Amino acid sequence: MSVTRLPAGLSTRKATDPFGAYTHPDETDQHAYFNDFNTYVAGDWTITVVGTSTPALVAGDGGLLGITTSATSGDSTFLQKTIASFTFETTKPAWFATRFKVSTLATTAVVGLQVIDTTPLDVTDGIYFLTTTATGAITGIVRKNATTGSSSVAVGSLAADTFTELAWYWDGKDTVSFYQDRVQKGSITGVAASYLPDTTTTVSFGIQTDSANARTMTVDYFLAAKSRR
Amino acid sequence: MLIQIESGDAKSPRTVRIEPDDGESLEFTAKTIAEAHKMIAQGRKDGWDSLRPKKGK
Repeated sequence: MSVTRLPAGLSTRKATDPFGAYTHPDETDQHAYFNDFNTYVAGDWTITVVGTSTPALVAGDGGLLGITTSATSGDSTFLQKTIASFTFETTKPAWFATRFKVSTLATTAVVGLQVIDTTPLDVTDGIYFLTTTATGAITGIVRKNATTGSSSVAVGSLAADTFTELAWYWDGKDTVSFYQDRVQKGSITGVAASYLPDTTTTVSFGIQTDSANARTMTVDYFLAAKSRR
Repeated sequence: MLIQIESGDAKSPRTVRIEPDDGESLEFTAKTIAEAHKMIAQGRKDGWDSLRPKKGK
């Protein structure tokens, strides 16, 4: 495959725009957060642990963060980026992607954008993925205020100790589409005012054990973005 | 910020330790995990100092 070369630059702005002659797409088009976990600063996160756990970088290709629970049934470790900075609006699309794996399917895992909460498995607001223990089935969830709007769709399934990429896309109109390994698995369409989270959310992830065994989640990266225009 | 809740079953008392980014750590015991979650939610809403024992009591 040949490389497309644009030595004069590539712009996403009109010529009259302050960035019209900028030779790179305007970085301010989106509010974006990307973490490849080449580095990890615990203070950047609200870490909620039942039992004991110390998230830390682990050796491996791609930059990896590992979290291991302690070994009592119901123990859990959740990380939520501080401070929450993503809201959802009509006319402004949003994106989320992550690549991760869990050591065994006897685990409940959650990844996505959520309000900061002590119980991310049953959070009040967010657009996120939740896995089912034992089967590894993945559910995509769009939830507002827990009780006024919560819609879900089957997305696919996890395999033990195998990386997968999960992603979702809010189209800025009425639909959230859910993907696994770059393939669309389902979507949820509704009236935005009824089901779209109305609280500021943040990158959120973690696992909970379902038996007296330690479980591990390994995360490669997170991308969260929202259009500014 | 670290919020650490002691392991246990649904009805067991839980010691909760909170290490805020911008204040002193605090520790309290909740009667159950549900109460622990409720108290943490209160701390988020009213400030972590609201969970500290009142002086003179």
